[in-house]
Amino acid sequence: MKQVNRKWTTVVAGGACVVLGTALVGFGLPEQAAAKATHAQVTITLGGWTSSPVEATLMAKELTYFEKAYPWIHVNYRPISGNYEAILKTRFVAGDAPDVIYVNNGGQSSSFMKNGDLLPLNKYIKASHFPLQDFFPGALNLFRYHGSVYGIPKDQSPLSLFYNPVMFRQAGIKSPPTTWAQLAADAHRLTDVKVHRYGLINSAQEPRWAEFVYEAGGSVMNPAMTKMTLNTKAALQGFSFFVNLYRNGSAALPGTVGAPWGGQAFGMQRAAMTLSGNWLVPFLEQTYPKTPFAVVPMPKGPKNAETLTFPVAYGITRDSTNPQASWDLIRYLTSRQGMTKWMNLGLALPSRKSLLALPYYKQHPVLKGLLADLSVSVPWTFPAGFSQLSSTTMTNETTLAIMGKETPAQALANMQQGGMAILHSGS
Amino acid sequence: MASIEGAGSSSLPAFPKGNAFRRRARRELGVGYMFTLPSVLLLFLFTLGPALYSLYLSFFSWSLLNHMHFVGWQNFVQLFQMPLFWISVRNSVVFALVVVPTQTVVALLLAAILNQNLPARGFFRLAFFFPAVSSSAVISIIFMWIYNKFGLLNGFLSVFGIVGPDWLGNPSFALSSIMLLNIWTTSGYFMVVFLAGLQAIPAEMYEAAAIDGAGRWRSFSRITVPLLSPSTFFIVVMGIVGTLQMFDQSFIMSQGTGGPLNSTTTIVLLIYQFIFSYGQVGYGAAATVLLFLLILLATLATNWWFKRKLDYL
Repeated sequence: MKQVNRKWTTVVAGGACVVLGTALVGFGLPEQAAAKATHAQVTITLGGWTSSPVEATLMAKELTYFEKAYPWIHVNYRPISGNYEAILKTRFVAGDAPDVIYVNNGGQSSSFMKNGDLLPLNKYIKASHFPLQDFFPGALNLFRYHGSVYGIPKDQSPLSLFYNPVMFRQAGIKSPPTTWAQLAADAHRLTDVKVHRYGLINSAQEPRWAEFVYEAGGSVMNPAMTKMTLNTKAALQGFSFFVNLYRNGSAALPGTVGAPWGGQAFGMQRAAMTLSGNWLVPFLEQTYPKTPFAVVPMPKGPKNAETLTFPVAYGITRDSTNPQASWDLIRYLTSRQGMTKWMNLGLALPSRKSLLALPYYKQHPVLKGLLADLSVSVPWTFPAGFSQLSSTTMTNETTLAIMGKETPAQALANMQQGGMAILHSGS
Repeated sequence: MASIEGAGSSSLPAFPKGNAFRRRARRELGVGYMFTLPSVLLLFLFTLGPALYSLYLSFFSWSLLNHMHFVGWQNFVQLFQMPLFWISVRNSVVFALVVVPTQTVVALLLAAILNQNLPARGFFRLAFFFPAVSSSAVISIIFMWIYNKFGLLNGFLSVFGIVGPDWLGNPSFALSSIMLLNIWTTSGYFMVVFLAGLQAIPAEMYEAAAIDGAGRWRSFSRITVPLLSPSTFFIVVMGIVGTLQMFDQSFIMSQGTGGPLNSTTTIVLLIYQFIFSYGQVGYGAAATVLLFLLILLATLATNWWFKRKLDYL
């Protein structure tokens, strides 16, 4: 592993990074042609979720290119619609999980890796000299467990600040907020309850306030995820800032304006700002084409400029009957070229650092704010066994704090206690 | 039938009659079982089998993904100490206590009205029955728009100067909103059951009562209601079973969360969350067993109550 890395670093240092990307495919082809004779025909299945029918169509097209390059591998693309995680679990129980799956952030990767549902990829990475140093370390680490890599990040999206420039101009605000103080002041100024418009609309879920905790210098858990760290002053400062925006009326929950989520409230022009990921861009363009928007990095906190990111990886399941072919698919899709094609769809942002310079991003300057946030973002995750706490309990505690039925400190203490109880029970 | 019997007795003359009969009866029994076998197999495979399996699972700790291990009564002990479980029980029971009587009364009134010779009777029967044949998921989504902060209901209320709440986003209104929806969807179906019951009441009874000087209300309360007891029994039992098992409407309208603040978390929604979202299959299975006991007791109590009432008649 180390040796491979060193070899690659030398080459990259030689300034042949881009050339190499093409060379890799160039070398790859004769090898594949030779392999064609020896390889028996195999079929693998790819499972994942889709954000839209467009994504599914484009993925299917992408796979036809793969099948041309690897003619002995046929890929059955079976996107899972509905509750991806629940359906995937039942497929695992049946011993019939797809060969290659999307592995999600927010705790899914932790539980799949802990339970041995995914195959370690180190062997394949080594054998095919697949360099990892181009990937954002945070994104890659999300799929690392006990020193093994279980997933190659396919894409990610950080949370950034979406704002409505027209509303800002009308309110006489010259530029979007870059600090917490400006964010609070602007949100206050942009709120007009009479016309049901709020400065900021976001749900009460943990990944909409955790970034404030990070920016105050705190954290939700320690890096090793063995302790809850919501009992610190910094955590309270960040969480209170978020809650107070709601308490003083300049922020609101999406339901207040009849929207199911913050992005939609923004599209409906009921919110002047919302914290969201890249997924909001295609949504706004398709569903609310008349809503003007721009994106800037998350406003800076008292300690750091930091935000959350949501990387998704490809992994090979323990049920795979053909891990080698599955790896060939993953390697193809996450290679510089494979990922470049995927990025040109605009559905998500790259998990490779070198792709930040893609021409696509020059043509789509609206993504600049999101791209800038990639370098200061922490992947969103929890340990195995935390899904009830992270999804339901934390949302409820935050809602109680927003409603004023609990102080921010009480809400944090309850979350802290809930998390510690899970960690102590060892599940 | 006669020809088979004839053939049977002629082909087996040596056997005493009783024995031959018994044997034929046994053969017929076998044929009967053969005919029911497909249904029985399906019943075991998809209903009783999973039910027994969930009883088995309620004694294990399992996340669907790891290896299951036996924990005895631990799941039940944990459930009993879990505030969220009691919240779900309270939600489900309150839901049943409000919905079952209301939908029964509404269905009875609708049936009594539509049993009269009214113009456009067929249209109204169809209109009231319509929700029962529509998809519950589709209706839930339509009602999400109706209950939206800027939806139809609040639009209607604003005519009277009332500023309506965010019905599904407010913990004080969310469960009541689902109750209203549920009553609306099921009343029409039970109305049809009552209509069938009403048609079975002989007209002479009403004539006799009228001759004896009974007014409209009296013949309704003294003839219609008591003689509808079998229909009412069926409706109440089905209502209890249905409301205690309510899942789809809560699931869709709270987007799977049971929120806001667990106000729409029913027992079955919690079971679903335990098993498929939280990776605690044992808790889910234990809650399933407890739900079964709750429904069983509620049904037995209803049975006992109606029997007693029928005895007094």
